Amino acid sequence: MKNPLLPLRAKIIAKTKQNDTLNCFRLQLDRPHQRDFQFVPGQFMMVGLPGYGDAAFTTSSDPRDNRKYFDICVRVAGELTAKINDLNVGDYLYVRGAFGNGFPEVKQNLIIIGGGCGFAPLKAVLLENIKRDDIKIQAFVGCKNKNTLLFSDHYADWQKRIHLNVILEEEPYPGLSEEKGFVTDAIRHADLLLDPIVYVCGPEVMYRFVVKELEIKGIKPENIYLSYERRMYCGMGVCQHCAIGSCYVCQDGPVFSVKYLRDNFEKHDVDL
Amino acid sequence: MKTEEWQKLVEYLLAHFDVYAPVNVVGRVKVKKVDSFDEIDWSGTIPENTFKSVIFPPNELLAQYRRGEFKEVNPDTRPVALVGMNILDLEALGLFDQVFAKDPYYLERRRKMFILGFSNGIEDDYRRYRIFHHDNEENVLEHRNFDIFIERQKNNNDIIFSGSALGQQWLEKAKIDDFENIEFVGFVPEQGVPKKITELRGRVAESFDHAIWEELNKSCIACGRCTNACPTCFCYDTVDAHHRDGVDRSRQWSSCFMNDFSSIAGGREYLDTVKKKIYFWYYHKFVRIPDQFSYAGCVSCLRCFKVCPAGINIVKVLQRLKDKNKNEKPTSSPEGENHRQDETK
Repeated sequence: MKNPLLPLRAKIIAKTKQNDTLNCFRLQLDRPHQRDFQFVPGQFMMVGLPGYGDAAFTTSSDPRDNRKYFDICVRVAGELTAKINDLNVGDYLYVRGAFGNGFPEVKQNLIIIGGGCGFAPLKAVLLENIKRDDIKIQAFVGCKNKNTLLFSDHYADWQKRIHLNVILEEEPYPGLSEEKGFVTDAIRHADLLLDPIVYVCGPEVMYRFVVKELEIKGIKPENIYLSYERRMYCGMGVCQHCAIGSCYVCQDGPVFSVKYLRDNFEKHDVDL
Repeated sequence: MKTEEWQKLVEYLLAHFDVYAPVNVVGRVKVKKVDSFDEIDWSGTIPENTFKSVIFPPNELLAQYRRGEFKEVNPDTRPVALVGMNILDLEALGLFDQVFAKDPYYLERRRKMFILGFSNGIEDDYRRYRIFHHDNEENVLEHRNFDIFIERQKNNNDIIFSGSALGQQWLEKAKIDDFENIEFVGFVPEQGVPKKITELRGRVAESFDHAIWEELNKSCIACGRCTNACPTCFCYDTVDAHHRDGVDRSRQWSSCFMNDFSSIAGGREYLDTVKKKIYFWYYHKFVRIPDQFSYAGCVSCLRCFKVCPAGINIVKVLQRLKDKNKNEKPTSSPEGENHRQDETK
C-alpha cells in the first residue's frame, strides 16, 4: 500500500519571481515518481519542508507536462511560505498528492475568474485548453495592483487567443483596463461568452459577489465552479480540519459547483 | 460458564500480548497496561479514560527526515490485546476501523491487535443513555469487530462469543469449547441506518440557530477536554520536531476547540467563536459521521460530560434540540446541575 502520509522529495528546477512576496517554483519529483505523477487542474499538493510542516498548494502548470514537472505558486503568508520563497533552484521541497477533485473537463466555452494568487490553478486550466479551436475562452483577472499580478509576462501571448480582462483595485492597467475596480466590475461591463462553464478561484469573500454578477448575466449555478481554501493536514478526509458541513474540502473539493454548495451547505457554512 | 473457567484464556493473552484493560485504582476505573488477571476490573464500569491512546496514540511518529529524505518508520509492532472492552468502546473501535481504513499506520497496528470485549449487563443508569443512543438490539455483536466477547449473566453464568478465526484459535488454546460463533456482517445493519441515528441527525443538522448554541457559547470554555476523553474523537495535526539527526514528523491528537484548528494562511479562522466550535463538534458526531459511514458518531458513554469543567451534559443538549420553539429558554439549564455527584440520581 502506498503511504499517502509520506512526503516525496521534489527538486526545484526553476524559480520565477512574480513579485516581492510571490514566486513560482517548477518542481520535479525523484524518479520514478514524476513519471507516474498525475493531476487535474484545481487539485492540490501538500508541499512542505522538514521542520515547517506542509500546506496545500494548487498546481499551475499544464497537466500535459506532468510527466516532466509541475508548478506551484507560493506567496509569503507565514513561516513555511517565507522559508520556501528563500529556496533556489537545486533545493528540495517535500510533497504529497495530488489530492482532491479538480475542475471538470472543459466541454464548452470557458470563463475563468481569478482573484489575486487564486489565478494559479486557473493558469493550468488555461494552458490545457488555450489551443483548442472548438471552444472560446474568456479570462478575468482581479488584483490589488500591478505589483501583485501573476503571470503578466504571458498576457501578450494569451491575448492572441483569448479575451483577457485585467482589473486592479488600486490603479488602472493601461491597455487592459482604463479604470480601477474589482473583478466584479469587469464582469458586469463585459459581454460574456455564450453558454459557458465558469471556473473561479480567489479569496472566499469575493465568491458571493462574483456569483451574483454571473447569475445576473444568466449563468446557472451548476455551471459555476469555485475553489475553496481550508486548513489541511491529511489531504484524505480524515483529520477534520477542512470539514464544511458533511464535506471535506480536501476530498470532496476543493472545487465545488455553486449548485452543490447551495444544496449541501447551510448559510452559516457557505454564504452564496 | 464460571469466570474461573475462562480466566486461563486471559492469562494466555497476558503471556503473549501487551494487555490493556480496565483497572480499579482506589475506586476509579481506568484503562491501563496490566500484568495479571487479578488487576483487571470486571465490574463493567465505563473507565474514565478510553482505549483510544492504544488504538490511536496521542503522538505517533509518521516519518523521519534523515539525510535529505523522509523515510517511513516501522511502527511499534508489538502485539497488543485490549481486554474487557465494553460494548460502547467496541462501537467506537468500529468507527476508527472505518475512518482509518486506508491509513497504513493504523492498519499495521490494528492487524496485531486482539480484542476481548466484555459486558456485565446494562448499567443501572443505562436508561439515561437510551435517551439518545440507538436501542441495544440483541444482534448488536454481529456489527462489531472483536475476537472474543464475554457476556456476564446475572447468575454468574458467562456466555462466550467468538468473533473471528483468531478468537477461535485462542479459545481452543485455552481449551474452551463452549462458545458461540458470531459472524461479522458489516458495521451497518442490513435494514439500514438505525432510526435513532437518523432522528438525531435531523435534530442537530438544522439547529445552528437554536438558542442552545448561544447559551453554550457562554458556558463552554473551549478547553477541549471532551475531545481528549471522547472515544470517537480522532482529529489530528501533523507536527514536526527537530531531532539531533534531522526532523521527526508525527501526528498528534488535535481538538476542534483549539484556536488554530481552522485557521488558514493570512490568519482567517473559520471556527472563530465558541458557538461555531461546539456546533462543529456536535455536527461531526451526529451529522458528518452518520452521513459518511451510516454509523453513530457518539456511543453515549458520557465521558465528555464527566470531564467537562463547565458541566455540559450532552444528553440535555440533545434533549433541548428536540424543542420545537427554538428560542425558548429551558426550565432548567443544560449545564451545571446534576454534575458528577448527582449523575446517578
